[in-house]
Amino acid sequence: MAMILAPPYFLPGSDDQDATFATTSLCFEAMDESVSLHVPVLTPADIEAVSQRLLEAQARHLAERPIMEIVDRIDQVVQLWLDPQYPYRQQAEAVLPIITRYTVPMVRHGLDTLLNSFRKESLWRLLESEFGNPLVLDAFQPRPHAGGLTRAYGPRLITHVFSGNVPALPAWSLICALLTKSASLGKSASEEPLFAALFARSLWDVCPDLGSCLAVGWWKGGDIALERAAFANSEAVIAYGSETAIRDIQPRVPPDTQFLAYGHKLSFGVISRDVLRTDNAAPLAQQAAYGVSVFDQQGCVSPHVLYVEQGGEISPKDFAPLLANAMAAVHAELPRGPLPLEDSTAIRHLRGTYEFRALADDSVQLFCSEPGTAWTVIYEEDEPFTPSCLNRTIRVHPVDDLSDIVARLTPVRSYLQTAGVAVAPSRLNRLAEALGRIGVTRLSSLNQMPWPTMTWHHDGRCNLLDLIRWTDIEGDLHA
Amino acid sequence: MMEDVDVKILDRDLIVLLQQGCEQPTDDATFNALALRLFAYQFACNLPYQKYCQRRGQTPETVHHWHDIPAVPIGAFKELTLSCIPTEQAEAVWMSSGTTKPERRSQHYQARLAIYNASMLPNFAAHVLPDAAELPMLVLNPTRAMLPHSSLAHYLSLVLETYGTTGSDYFLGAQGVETDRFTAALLAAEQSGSPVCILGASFAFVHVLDTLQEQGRTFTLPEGSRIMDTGGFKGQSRELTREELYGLFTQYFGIPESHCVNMYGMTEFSSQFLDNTLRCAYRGQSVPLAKENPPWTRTLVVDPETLQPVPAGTRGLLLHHDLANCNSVVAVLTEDVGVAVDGGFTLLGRAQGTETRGCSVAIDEMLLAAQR
Repeated sequence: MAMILAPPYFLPGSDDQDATFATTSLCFEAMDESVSLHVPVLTPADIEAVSQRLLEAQARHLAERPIMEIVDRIDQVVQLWLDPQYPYRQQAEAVLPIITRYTVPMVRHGLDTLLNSFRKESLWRLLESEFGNPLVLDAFQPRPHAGGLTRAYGPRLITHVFSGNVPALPAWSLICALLTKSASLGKSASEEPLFAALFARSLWDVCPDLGSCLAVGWWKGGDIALERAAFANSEAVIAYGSETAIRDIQPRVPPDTQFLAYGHKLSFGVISRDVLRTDNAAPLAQQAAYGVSVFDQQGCVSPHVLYVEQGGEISPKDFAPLLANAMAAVHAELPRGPLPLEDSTAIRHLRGTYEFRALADDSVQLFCSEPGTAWTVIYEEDEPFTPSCLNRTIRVHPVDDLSDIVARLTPVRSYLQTAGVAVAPSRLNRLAEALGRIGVTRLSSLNQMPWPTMTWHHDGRCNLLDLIRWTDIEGDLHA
Repeated sequence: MMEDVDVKILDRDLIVLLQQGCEQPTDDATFNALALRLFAYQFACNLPYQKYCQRRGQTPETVHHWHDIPAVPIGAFKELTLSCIPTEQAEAVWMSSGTTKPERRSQHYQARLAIYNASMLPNFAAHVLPDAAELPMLVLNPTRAMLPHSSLAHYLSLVLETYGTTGSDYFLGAQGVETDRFTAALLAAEQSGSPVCILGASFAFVHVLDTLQEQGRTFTLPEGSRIMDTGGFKGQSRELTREELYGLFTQYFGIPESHCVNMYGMTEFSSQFLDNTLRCAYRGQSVPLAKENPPWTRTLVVDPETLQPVPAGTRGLLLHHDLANCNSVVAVLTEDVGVAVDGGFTLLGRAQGTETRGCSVAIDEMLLAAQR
């Protein structure tokens, strides 16, 4: 049983020792270890009270605080988290593998990489990329090109409905809220209820005033009364999750409350013939294998399929075994986590199907880890886009020409997100135009697929500007 | 290849075992010997299976225990032909009723129906007719002639032909369930005081129950009446748990749960696994609900990660060894989850992929989007 240091919720103003909450346990088991997280059973009245406290804290501690200082405080928290000795970090490393079933090396690598992208420089770059002059968040500023003055206001309170697939990602949502000077009420995911609460606690430790602008609790997704209570006081709701979960939440968001939904997405890789050289194919396979393997392929940014163009020095069919070798190498360094019965069954049966298909059809090949299900590479011609069963299961499809990819992806265009690409620079623009047109919102290198930059237009939208309301002073008034 | 005469001896020995029925368990040595002989035959004559085994380095020379006979995943039956004889010589071929990709339906070739029948009949009798009752068989399923490739249609027709007394009939035709005729048969049974046996797919029962509910009709069928249902509700509009369904059986037919038997069978197997309920009720035993292995089968509960048996009492995937699968493969790994019990297993349902974790798009969501 892992030691629990800090409780998996953060409700400032309601003392941790406060005995008024009944609690319930969320239990997790992986690799013969188990952990029970005790979380308060919240009522609509609790949510109302927490929301009122958050609104007051926002007015007192956030609304007038200079953006530069907010960035500094967040950076301080992130620095703490990057220290392997930091108690919350140690707690996360001890408990997240049991909760999320990611292995310890995967959790460490994931936390390091994500948290590093939340550093001051990135935050400031994000502010500049979206606002031009971030000081519009502090005071009226001249409007370049337009004349007059303008000032940006974020929502006073945002409710976040987190998903549990990538630990540390809730922190990103909370940081974006802070950058718009918005207080946050986070509803943590049943699958991973810990990280958001720990992150909020560390902000409290660094700066209680700012910390009092965050609250993180848990309730079972779909609780109508609690969600209504949460949304009633919020000026924006940001929800992450499956299409079903989002369809469920949407009707409960009041009409004058902004609703931003980040639903499930599909990502894929593209490798062109010009880069498939003898000297380059193995490193490309390593990059692709890394992109597939990070967070066991559970992220929106994780590729489901790789399209590999015919005609290079290395054929797509010869690339598949290179990818298999690289998958094995990544598994040695960042092992895949243990799977629930259902997930390993899915892989086992997919492999079985393809093993028999390959016996009768030379155009199909199967490469896989033995004896377990740690990784699977399927080479297959002419299949329509089929989502992967994940957990490091990847299909390689040959294409005669990059332009053939569009037709393959059109049936799932409304879900497309990241394309990890390795193509000759001269062909990038044309590919990007074609992919952009069918809905892809991000092209990156294969290696960087798991780690979007903070300035990425997340699912095609602005991270901060979409939350902002503007107030303008027209030129004649101020002249 | 094996000599014809060896195959005939294997066939004969198998029939002898099947004809011993369900009352005596087969000792492991007997089971093992026959399983290994069948494996050798299938390895020699079922060429895709041979390749599959060779890739694993498992051959009749290296496999000495039935545990180690390579199991094919059930989806293999959708991919290619797994038959020891040329398919045109098979007496029947069972096909699954998959709807998504008609060209990828399971196909299971039965070399000799006599073996299928010899497995099926004593198992049915032991679990549905443990009291050797002679009853009219009211079948909520089309006839064998209407569905020549359905193993269930064959099964139910064979039950009707073998055990059904006067009044036995089919009540599901080209137009669906013939509710009027069916309720007339129930009414006749109620009035005559003679028990009946109702058999069919679970979803056909649901259809009948819906009609009875609309009409506000219930029956109290004579004592000794019983139900055998099979299959789940794949692709049907309603899903019911076992408790709900059997509760409705009691409410609408007056048949207690002790007289309701669920049959778990699949296109890919030549034997079935039936609930112990009625058999135990007849013997006056009170044991937890389980599916029983007929003596010519064994079920391993395995961890899909390692394919090794899980510790007792732990959930795992069901891997059945069915000696009646003599023309295809003896060992098949299912997608069904269960727990091993003495002499059988409890069936917990299908292993559904977990949706909660990955940022992925469920296939049905995708299909919905494609229709938009």
